[in-house]
Order: sequence, then C-alpha cells, then structure tokens
Amino acid sequence: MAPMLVWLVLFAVLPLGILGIYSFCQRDDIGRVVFAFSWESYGRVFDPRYLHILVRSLGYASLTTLLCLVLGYPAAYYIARRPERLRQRLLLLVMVPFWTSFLIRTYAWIQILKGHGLFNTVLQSLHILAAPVDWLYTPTAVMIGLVYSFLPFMMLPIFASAEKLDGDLLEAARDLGAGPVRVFSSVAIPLTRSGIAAGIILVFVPAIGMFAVTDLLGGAQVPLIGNVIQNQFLQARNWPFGAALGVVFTLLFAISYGLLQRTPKWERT
Amino acid sequence: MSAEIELKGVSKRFGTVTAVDDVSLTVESGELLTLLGPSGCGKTTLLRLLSGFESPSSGSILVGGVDVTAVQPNKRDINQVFQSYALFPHLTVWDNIAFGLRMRGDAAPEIETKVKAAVALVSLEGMEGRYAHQLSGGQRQRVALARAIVPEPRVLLLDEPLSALDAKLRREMQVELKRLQRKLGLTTILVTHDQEEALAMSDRIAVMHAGRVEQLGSGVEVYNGPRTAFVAQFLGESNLLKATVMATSGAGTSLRTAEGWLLVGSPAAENGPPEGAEVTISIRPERLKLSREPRHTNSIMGKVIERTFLGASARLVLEGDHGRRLTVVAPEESKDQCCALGEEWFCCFEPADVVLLKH
Repeated sequence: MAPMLVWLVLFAVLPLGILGIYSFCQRDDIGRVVFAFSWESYGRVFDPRYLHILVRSLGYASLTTLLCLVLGYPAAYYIARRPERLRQRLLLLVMVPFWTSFLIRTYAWIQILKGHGLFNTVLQSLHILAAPVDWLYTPTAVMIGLVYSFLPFMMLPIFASAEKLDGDLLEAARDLGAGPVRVFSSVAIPLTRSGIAAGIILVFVPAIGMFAVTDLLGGAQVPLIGNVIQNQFLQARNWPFGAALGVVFTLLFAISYGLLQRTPKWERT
Repeated sequence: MSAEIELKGVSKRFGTVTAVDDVSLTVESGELLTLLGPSGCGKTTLLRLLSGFESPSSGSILVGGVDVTAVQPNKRDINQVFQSYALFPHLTVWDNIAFGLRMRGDAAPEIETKVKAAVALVSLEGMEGRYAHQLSGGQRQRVALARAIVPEPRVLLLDEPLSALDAKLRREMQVELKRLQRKLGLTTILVTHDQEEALAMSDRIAVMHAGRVEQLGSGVEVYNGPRTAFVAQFLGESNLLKATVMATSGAGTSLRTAEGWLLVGSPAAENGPPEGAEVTISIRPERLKLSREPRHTNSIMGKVIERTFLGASARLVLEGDHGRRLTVVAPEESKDQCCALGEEWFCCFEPADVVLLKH
C-alpha cells in the first residue's frame, strides 16, 4: 500500500497539483508565471477559437477510436482464438512496430504519403489513380497516422479479453441456433466489453492530446488541441493557459473513464 | 418406436489419430442412450459429431431420417447440455433459457409462455432474474437443462452433465433428469464415464473403447453378459480368469483355469468356444458367496488379505493358489462370522455366474 501511495503521489498527484496551481496563475509580458489568482486562463478555454479546435480534436479522436475499433476488433479477436503457438506469433507481429521509435515511424509515413511516395506509386501502377495525389498535409494523412499509431493500443486489451472468452459459450450459442453473426453480437461482444472499454480509453484519450502526428503529417494545417497545449508551453510561453487546457482535459478524461469503467450488473455480486 | 438417430459407419480422424472408428448405431425415438467409456475412448468426439461441431471423416449421420452430416450446428434440431454448463454470464436465468427461442425468432408472448413453463419444469421459480454466478452448482445445471430443452429439439445431448455436482446431488439429479426425459419423451444421448450414472439412467448403454462401440445393450444385458474383458472391467468390477474349455455339454461347460481350478460354467451357446479353446471368464464379485465348507463344484479357497467396509456391504480380497486374487463383495451382515483377515474361506458360485468373454 505505502509504496503504491508514494508512486501515485510522485507521478500523478504532484504533477497534476502543479498543473492545477499554474492554471490559476497569470503571466507577465515576457511569459513568466506570476503567482496571482485568476480565472482568466479558464475563460480563454471557452473562447470560440479554442472551442472550435476542441470540437475538431474530439471529432478526430472519436473517428480514430471508431476506426481502430472496427479494424482492430476483428484482428484481435481472430488472433486470440488461434491455437497457442500461432497466437503468440501473431501477437508478436502486433508488437513489432514498438521496437522502432514512434517518431521515426511517423517520418516513414511521410515517405509513403508524399507526392511520389509509395502510396501514389502503387495506386498509379494499379491504375486506380491517373496522377499522383498529394496525400501529405491533409486531414486524411492525419487520420491515417492517428489510426496507425493507436491501432495496437486498441488491439491489445481486446486480445486480452477475447483470449479469456470461454469457447464453450460460443459453441453453446451456436448450438442454440445462433449463426456466426449472432454468436458474435450476442455473446462475443458483450463478454469482451471490458477489453473494448479499455481499448477505447487507451486510444481516445491520447488521440485527443496527440500533437506529433498532426505536426508531421498534417503540416500544422489541422491543429488539434494537443498542438495548442504544446504551443502554449513551448512557443507562446503562456503556461497558465496551457495548464488550464490540460486541467479541463484531465477532467474530461476522468469523467469518460468513469462512465466506461462501470462494472456491468452481471459482474456484481 | 422409430429410429430417431442413425449413425452409419461414422469415423473421425485427427491427423493420424482415429478418435471415432467406424461407429454404426441407432437410437430410438424417446430413448436414452448412454455412451460410456474412459476418457479418450471417443465418446466426446462422437457427441461433437452429433452436435455438428466436428464433421466426420467418413460415414453419415441421420436425424429423423434426414442426413444432417453437412448441416451446421445452429441449423441442427439438436441441443446440448455442456459439461461446463456454458451459461451466458452476461444474461439472467430467464434470458439464458430464452436464448434459443430468440435465435429462432419466436414471438415474444410465445417465448414468455415457454420460458415460464421451462422454469417451472426445472423448479427454478423466483430465480429468473439471477445471473449464473449467483446460483449453486445444481441450479446452474437446471438452467443449462432448461435452456437446452425449451426449444423442443428432436435430440438432447448431455455431456457429462452431472460430473461437477457432489455425490448426493448427483444421485438426486440422475433420478430427476431421467424423470424429465421420460415425461418429455426426449430422444437423449448421454455421455459419461460414470458407470453408476450409466446404469441408473440409460435405456441402453454403448460401451466405448478406442473409438469403437465395444458392446451395446440394456444395462442389465451389458452388466450380466459382458462380451469382452474391457466391458467386464469398465462396467462394474470383475474377476477375470484365463481358462481352457475341457468339455461342453447340455449340462454345462467344464473349464480349467490357468491356476488349475476346475470350474463349471453354463451350457455352451451354439456358437460358443469349442473344446480345447483358450478363453477368459468373468465372475462378478457380488456373485461369489463365502462359505466355510467347499461345495461340490465351483469352490475356490482363498485367504482374506484385504477388507474394506462399504456400509451396506464389504469388499474383500482373497488370495488363492499361485497368489491369484479374487475380489468378493459380501453383504455386511455376515461380518461377525467371517471376513477376519488371514482366515481361509471358500468362494462359491453358480455355473450361470461364469461369463465367457470374447477373445
């Protein structure tokens, strides 16, 4: 208990506390933090300019989460239901990208998506495209980058819950007249709910705050809230405002986490 | 009575292993047939072939005269009670039982009526809103049973349905399950390795060994007339002796065991072993009567070397000539006069108690 408490205080409570204090401070003309109470930063969070970016961020993060779920669930489920040896190998393939730095992998996408990159070359040689399309620095490129980055985070928790799914239950549903689709929708999905919830949190929360992908693949054309926060700390030197944005998001995450993690009735004793 | 299930030369091979080897059998409508055998005998694979979760390597399966060999499990009019019960943990008792009807697309009022009747049938009134983890083992068993029978399948499959229950509850459920099966006239196939369960519940028993049906018949037939050493030992206990046929006549069969004992068996059957044939004979432990005095025929002397009190009876092991051991199950009432360790007694039996096994 005690070591856990120390850990929590050091790495969660203390940083959040500092963030909270900064968010109520002011800044002077050259960007130094002045320790005088003010609501000003929170007022700016709801400025239409930032509200617009916030809504866009939520949209991007939601779409990323949805695509990761749609692409990741079948793959994770499939892997989890394979025999032991094959399962371990397939799972390893999901992890392989983590051996390379996330930034380098994002740079690699620039090479793939640019005017004469791999993507266009392949599409042209298949005669799907007549002329190269500029994919880079578009919302599409940002979405591709986001889904690519977060897919494993959706797959791993779903894999973990699908692996624990009792095969007898799937057979029982089949035996009682459910076709493969009904088995999936009325037994497999409800029983892997905890994995889905964990995957959604693991993708949605960091996707909102993501700034590297939007910078590199979006060319700062489509700033998300993560870019704004990063900007406030590094370029605009408005720490109190950056902190206020951070606090608002932390609260949003906490609420959504609380909603998703509610124990279903059938697991309560 | 008509054939509800027909298996015609059904085999199932997994790689080089033959799990089910050319099984042909017929189950009558309303009959409870048990597949009895040790683990690995192929009984579970045979059940999975029937439910459709495995497809046979060769042969065909007919249900109600229709070939279902290539039919998917969800399209088969067969429901199963799983060994693990496989109750859906996210559904209540009510929704578990209604599952099959909903998948079939029955109308809501009809589902309501049928589920209610099924709940009453298995005496689970008041439990409808509970989840599996809030039920006892016996209650889960009832839910699994109700869930399987509520869509009124042509065939009910029971895969070791009582193995997770304690001994007392298991015996109660055997009686109840049998009563229900009779009442509903459900054609049922029970898979078990428990010979008592098989004897208590079955109309007929198919004793399985190494992927084959070794013997098929009513419990009485199979128990009293085992055809092979495997059946004699798996269904009940048996004293097996190697013997040579000395003479056959209408009066009986003279046998000489490997130990040199001269025994008399029942008159030889028409196609029984000829004189001089080497045979194995089986004598049930409870058919051996202990006596102080030898009888004219069929008396084997032995020294009591082991005694186990079983409540209503006692199980004794006697050692005869050449260290040959015989097991005797005797009513416990005689314990005062006999059965002291080290005492010598005669094991006596009737010619009819000697069963000649197939080699």
